[in-house]
Amino acid sequence: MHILVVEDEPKTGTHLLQGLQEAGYDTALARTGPEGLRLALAGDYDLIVLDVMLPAMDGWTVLRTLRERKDTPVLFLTARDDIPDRVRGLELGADDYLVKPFAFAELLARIRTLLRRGPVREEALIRVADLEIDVLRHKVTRAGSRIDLTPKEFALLHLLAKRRGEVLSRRLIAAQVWDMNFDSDTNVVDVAIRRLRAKLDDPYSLKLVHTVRGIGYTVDDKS
Amino acid sequence: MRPPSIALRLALLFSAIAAAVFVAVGAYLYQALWQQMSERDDVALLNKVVLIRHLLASQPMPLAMPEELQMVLDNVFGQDGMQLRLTDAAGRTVVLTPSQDARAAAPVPTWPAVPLARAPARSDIRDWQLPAGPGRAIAAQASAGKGQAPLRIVIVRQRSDRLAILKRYAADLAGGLLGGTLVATVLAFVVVRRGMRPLHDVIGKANDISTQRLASRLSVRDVPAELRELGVAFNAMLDRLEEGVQRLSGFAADLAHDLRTPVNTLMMQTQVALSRPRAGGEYEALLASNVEEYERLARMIENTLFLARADHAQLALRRETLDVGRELAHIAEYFEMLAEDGGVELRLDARGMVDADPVLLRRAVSNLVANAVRHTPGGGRVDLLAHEDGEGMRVEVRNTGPGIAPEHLGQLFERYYRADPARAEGGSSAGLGLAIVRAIMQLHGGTATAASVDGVTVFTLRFPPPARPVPAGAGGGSD
Repeated sequence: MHILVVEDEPKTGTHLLQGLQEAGYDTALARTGPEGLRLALAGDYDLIVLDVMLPAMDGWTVLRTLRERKDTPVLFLTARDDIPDRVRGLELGADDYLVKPFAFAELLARIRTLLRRGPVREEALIRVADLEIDVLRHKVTRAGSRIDLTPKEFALLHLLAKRRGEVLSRRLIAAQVWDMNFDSDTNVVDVAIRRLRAKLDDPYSLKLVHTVRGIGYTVDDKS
Repeated sequence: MRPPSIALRLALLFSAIAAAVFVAVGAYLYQALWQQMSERDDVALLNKVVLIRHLLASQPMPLAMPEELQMVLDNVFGQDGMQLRLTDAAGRTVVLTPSQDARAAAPVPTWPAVPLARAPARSDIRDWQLPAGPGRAIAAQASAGKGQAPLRIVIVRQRSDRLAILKRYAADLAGGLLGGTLVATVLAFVVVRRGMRPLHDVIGKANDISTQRLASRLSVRDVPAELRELGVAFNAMLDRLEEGVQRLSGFAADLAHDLRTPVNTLMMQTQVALSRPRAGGEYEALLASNVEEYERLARMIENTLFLARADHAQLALRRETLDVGRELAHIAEYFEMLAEDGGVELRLDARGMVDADPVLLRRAVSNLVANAVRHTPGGGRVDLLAHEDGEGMRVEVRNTGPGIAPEHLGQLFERYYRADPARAEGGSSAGLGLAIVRAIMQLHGGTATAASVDGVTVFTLRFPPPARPVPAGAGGGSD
């Protein structure tokens, strides 16, 4: 997967690139609007991450010009989250947007969503090491023995397991599991994870739920 | 086009009024003079008739000394543009005094003469056109000697001299009118300008005001009555502006202070870590700790922006009719584990419908519940209640615990207000949570209040009833 990043702020650009490379993407970086447009038109990218405030040519212009010729998915980054700004971006043909400051995990999650072409096939049975989740029957077993989870605990585990290996931010988890779409400034997610761990991991030596400090949580078989 | 100045407008209006008044007065004076002059002339005519009658009565008939009489009469009628004609019964002219206007033989009035028995009156005088211009004429009977030989007196009077006087008078009047109007206009302009001076004072004051000098006020007492209301409104506006500016700058100062703490933490811990080589794990711990501070900063920025936008009513409400029971159940579900974890019982009793923006409603109630759960000691209880009363939907979040001192209750919803300065929790949305609750309620046209009695703290959100027609008699109750 090839991603073009158009970002003028040197540190942000470099670290975005590094993060994306470490997440397994091929990347290219443009520092100005015209350069970004040239690369976007010439190259064959799967996704463009486009900053709005750019020297020489702003992100809106880049986006509008690009859309006249290409349909490459565009995720735009903006420091202004006024409604007119967002609407403008989406009207010009952007596929998604993120407001600065954002969590890197959030950016990765959005990129993955944009790159997943077509509907995601929901797995009916998810396996992580000796953990088995029967999504349809809401049944969870580990090493053959049944684990009883409350509906919310199940929703949390299901979310983490179906995106196993991916680090999910607290905000994303709160939004997906509880439909709380704002930063509610509580440690509800941490408490929920702790309770899930108590049932899922504590009795076993192989831990599946991992904390990635400063980013969020992930379910993975790291053995 | 810009509207003309008030001074100019008033001056023009004033001069129009002055001109109208001058014209009316002039016309009246002219008319009065004309009246008076014609009256005097008529009276003179009548006097002459009486005089002639008298004179003739003492004359023998036929007229003894027509030459002598002619001389006397010539003397009497020589001036004033009057002409006397005496004719006898046969129509022969006996006496004809010379006329000032001898150009042509004037026609002679032929209408019936005033009978001898009656004294002539003004109504007997008629307008008479003379070759030289308009005039007046009268015809009367007379008799010479002792009641014999009836004679006809005709006196004609030219008016041209009078007209000349009136014409001059009219010209004088018109000149005076024009001059008076001009003077009045100029005076009006000057006076109006002077009269508007208080307005200029107001303007000067307004020009003096800047954000640094908002304390300046108009002294309403020295201002004329017409401007007093303007002055009062102006001062009230300044009051509001000053309050707003003060609140804003206070807000900015609070924000800056609040930013100091996380930035200080970041600088300190990073510099300490960099001061000597450390193991990889230590760097990792540092970075993770940094991220926590960054998230705190990001949250502060987000909350501040939210409040700024709510203040400018830039947030578009997406109102929906919501089932409060379902919405609150949703929130309770979110906090359930947290409450359980802290040994707090979370109860829900909510029903009814409310018109509100779902995301904002959730945010407001969540802030309150998060607060309540945080401040309820283990073994305590948090109640999430909602019911409709006469004044709309009422959502309450109650919790047991130490309570809030009465002096803090009024200010709880202020930005950055902390009832307990020592309890500035790390990582919390630092004093903006309740301000956000209030902003959300204001956007909905509702209120947010707090009360704390006997170890129970209650936060109440009131949503006004939906704007559908309310049946008469409903909605009057209060508690």
